[in-house]
Amino acid sequence: MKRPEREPPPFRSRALAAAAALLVLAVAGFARFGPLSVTVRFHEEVGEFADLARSLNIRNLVTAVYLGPRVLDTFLEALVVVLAVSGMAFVRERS
Amino acid sequence: MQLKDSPILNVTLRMLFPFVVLFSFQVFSYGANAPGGGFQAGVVLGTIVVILELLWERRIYEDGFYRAMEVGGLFLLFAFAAAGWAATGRPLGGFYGWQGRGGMFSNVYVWFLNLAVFLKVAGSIVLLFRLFLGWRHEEA
Repeated sequence: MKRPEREPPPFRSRALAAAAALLVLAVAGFARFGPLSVTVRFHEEVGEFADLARSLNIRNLVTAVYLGPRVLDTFLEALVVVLAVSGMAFVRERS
Repeated sequence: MQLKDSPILNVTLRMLFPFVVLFSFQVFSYGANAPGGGFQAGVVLGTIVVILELLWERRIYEDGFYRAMEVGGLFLLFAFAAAGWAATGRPLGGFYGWQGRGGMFSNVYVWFLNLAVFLKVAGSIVLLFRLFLGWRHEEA
């Protein structure tokens, strides 16, 4: 009885194994020889963000930035998602 | 047995659905004072709808519902952009003084911005998923 031929995997398994081994070695090496602690550095601008959040009467510093001074970026980011939907709909109609 | 026949998945997700919707409302409503915001809440809502649609292989509400969400969010953003531009010369500016009390409405303008982003992202994610899925079905 002839065995059915196996389809070749869509990736190079040896290359993938080598990459995984390299990644494990890198992580182990970092754990062994990497820095023992992370250097903590105080950024002065945090105080400005805290003042900004206080002036907006909110506590989430991320929201204070992305809906505060960077609100226009957020707006454009929202438009990008709309553009993705419109683009997909357009391409699907054409295909 | 197919995935949609699994009683565990069906019962669990069916019971989970209202809580996930509630959670998404909470995430955008308190986005100003707690971790979260409109984007995250929209992704939460969109994801549960996508998971259920994948499981049941049918649509939960028609495209028009999600398109209305998307357009509603976009309309809010454009309205605030235009109003801010007219009032202060800066798009989306000028309404940050609209502040209230409590964790939800400590800044009403930020709440509305989060709402707009939430509606838009949730609607877009479901529509994008459906477009991709329709495309794949056509190819098969």
